[in-house]
Amino acid sequence: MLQNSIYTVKELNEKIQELVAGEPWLGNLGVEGEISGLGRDKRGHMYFSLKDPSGVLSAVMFAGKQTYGLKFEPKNGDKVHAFGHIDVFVRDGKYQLYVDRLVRVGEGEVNARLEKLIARLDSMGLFSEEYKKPIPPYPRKIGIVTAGAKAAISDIKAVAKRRDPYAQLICYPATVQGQYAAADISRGIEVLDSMGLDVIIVGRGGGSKEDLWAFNEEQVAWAIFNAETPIITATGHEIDNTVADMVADRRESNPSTAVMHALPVVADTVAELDGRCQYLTALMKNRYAAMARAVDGYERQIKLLGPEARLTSQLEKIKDIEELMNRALKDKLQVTADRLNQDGDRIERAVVRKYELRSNALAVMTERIHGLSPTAKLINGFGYMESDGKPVRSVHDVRPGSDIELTLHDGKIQAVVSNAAGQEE
Amino acid sequence: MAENTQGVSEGLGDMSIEAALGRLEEIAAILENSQTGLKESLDVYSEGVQLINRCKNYLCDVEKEMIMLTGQGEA
Repeated sequence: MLQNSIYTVKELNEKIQELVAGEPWLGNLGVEGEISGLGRDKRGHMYFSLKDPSGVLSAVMFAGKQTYGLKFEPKNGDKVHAFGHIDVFVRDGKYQLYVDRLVRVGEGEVNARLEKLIARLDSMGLFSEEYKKPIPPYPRKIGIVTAGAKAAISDIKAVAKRRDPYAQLICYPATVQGQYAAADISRGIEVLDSMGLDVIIVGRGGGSKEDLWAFNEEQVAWAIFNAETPIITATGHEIDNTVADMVADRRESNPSTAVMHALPVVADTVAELDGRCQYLTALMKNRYAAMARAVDGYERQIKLLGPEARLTSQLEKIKDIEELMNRALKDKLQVTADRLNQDGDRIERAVVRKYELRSNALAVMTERIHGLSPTAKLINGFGYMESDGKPVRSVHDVRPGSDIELTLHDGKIQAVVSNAAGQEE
Repeated sequence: MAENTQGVSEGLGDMSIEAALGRLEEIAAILENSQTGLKESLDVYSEGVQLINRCKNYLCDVEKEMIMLTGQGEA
């Protein structure tokens, strides 16, 4: 009857969860193993695997448990005792250890061996920055050593095609897990290195530390170190560097990302080149314009300062002087003329005055002269008397009956003396 | 005034435009100096005008080359 029952996945997972829950010893137990694949999410929950040479157990330690249950900073390779209970995670159909307390009991052996190798390679300079080759910014030929899984390779191809359809991809499908992985990866690197590519990407899409073990092998480290071509590792492990990552010239999380970062989008490159070209052109134009301005400036300045200008200025000076002289001369003339005018006036005035003076004097003289003339006296009732042609000066010069002639200013009177007697005293 | 046809077809030769501008600066200073005689003024002026023409020719060549390089007519 049971055989014929059809369960949903969820139902089955829940049944198994019930079974597990029904085993009290699974509710409280301790497990010894090495921490591997340690990761934390945003809330601080810790996810890892417990490993020993024969198996793996998923484990989770929630953030709330870590306050009292975790007294050290765990890292991959730590040998620990994990205390907690087993439960089934129904959604994933996966059982795991829910850890309440984690105690470190020592470093793992595998880890210790790895540390030794790292120390040795480091002392030989394999990780030294001075040997890191720059990754060409615009690679044309990209080699890829990766697991031959179709999906991984087609994803890489798609990324490359999207970014730069002109870039050439050469894939070396390698075994990246297991006994022969290290040798195969090393060979892939050597083969691609001999092809004169721009860059080689070595990696796989992901996996636990143990799955990536080949990338911790000395052989791979030397293959990377000895390659002439710059090498990017992409071992898919964000937290732990593999030895290959330390030797490589650059490290990326996975091959697709590596291609994405190594290969600029061709349109961007073209746009950038256009932009740079425009910038250069603008700089050149500015420089050119500055030079042209400078030359123009000197041209103006020098022409302004040139002998023509000097001549013009001298001519102007001469003209100025000429004008000055002309003006001075004119002024002088004017002054002279004014003075002449003034003098003329004065002379005229003087002449007139003189004339008037003379004229007056003449009049006075005339008066005087007139006054002295005997006839002048006649005007005022005076006349002069003659008898027989002789002036009569006294009453004694005539007798009654004598003819006398009286001369007045306007004529003569003929008269006869009727009486003549002297003045009585 | 002292336009000299000698300089017209000539570029800057080995002289850099910066050196030419330096010389033009000197020439301007000589011309600015009121103590400089007319004869000397004429000499350096003539040199200056020729140098300016050579600079212009050089710039013209540069412009042509810029147009050619950018492939556009509005350099």
